[in-house]
Amino acid sequence: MTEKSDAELVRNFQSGDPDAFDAIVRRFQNRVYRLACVWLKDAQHADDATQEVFLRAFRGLRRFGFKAAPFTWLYRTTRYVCNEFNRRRPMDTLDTEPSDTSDTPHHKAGEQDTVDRIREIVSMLPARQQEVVMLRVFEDLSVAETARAMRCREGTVKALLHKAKLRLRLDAEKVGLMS
Amino acid sequence: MSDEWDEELVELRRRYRRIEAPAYLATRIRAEVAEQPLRRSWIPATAALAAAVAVLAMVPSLFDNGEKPIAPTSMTVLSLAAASRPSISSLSTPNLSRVGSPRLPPPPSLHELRRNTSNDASIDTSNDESNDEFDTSFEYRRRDSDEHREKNHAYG
Repeated sequence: MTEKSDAELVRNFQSGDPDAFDAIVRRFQNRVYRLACVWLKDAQHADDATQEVFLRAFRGLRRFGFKAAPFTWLYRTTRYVCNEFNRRRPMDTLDTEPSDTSDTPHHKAGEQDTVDRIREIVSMLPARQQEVVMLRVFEDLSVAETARAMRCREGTVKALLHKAKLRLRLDAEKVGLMS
Repeated sequence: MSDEWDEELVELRRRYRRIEAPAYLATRIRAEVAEQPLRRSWIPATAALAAAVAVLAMVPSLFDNGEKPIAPTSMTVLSLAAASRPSISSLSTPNLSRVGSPRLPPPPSLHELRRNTSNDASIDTSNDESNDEFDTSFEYRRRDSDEHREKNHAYG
């Protein structure tokens, strides 16, 4: 049995298939959760934010018009929800030291380190370059998909990615020289 | 240095993509979604459509009060209307002095009295009484006819 495409899943959900939304959650929950871990100032709320994203998806995907990929819609919702969470819980900033993970049993040992390192890298960049690096480098979206998610041209994505890599490389060299 | 950096980035990406949402999250989301009120998307759409139709139906009755819109009159039409307009003199009312006071009928002449008594003159003067209050021409006409009759009588 061939796997249904993202758009097919959303269409099934719109036509009232009771299992379609479960399938959407299973397909996208890890990607939404990972993004939430990086975007949130307090990664411990990543599961709450992920839940909120899918609740909004349950309400919003009924009117989804397929002008973009469903993940693009989910990505923008995740970004919006994370910004809301950060405004409500201004506990720490993105570039501070790693948060305490002792009360988050669902985080595996190395996962928090990974998230903290990515946040450290990304926080060195301006906001638009952060988005490009997250989508293009870490989420492995194509240039066209990244452009649609960021609502900009493909050339802008390429330029932003080039600048981001250059800046990160320079920062890494500085750190290497200092150490 | 850049090779090391690239390697770190690749390794970081590999580790990042291994991060998974906790197992309980899907169940939690399913439970939350099940609690959501069942909203049928066509109900608000139909209600909005009905309201819009009702408002549109009310619009003509608000502005149409049975009067035709006033169309601008062209100068040609106005000039034609001015030409066919009755003259001011024909529209004027007679002066009060011309109306005059009601006149009494003239005293019957001797001849008339004689004729009335002899011929049982049954001239219906009820209309005269009502009309000659203002229409004095009838009185003259009657007087003329009396004179004419007298002449005929004299000749004949």
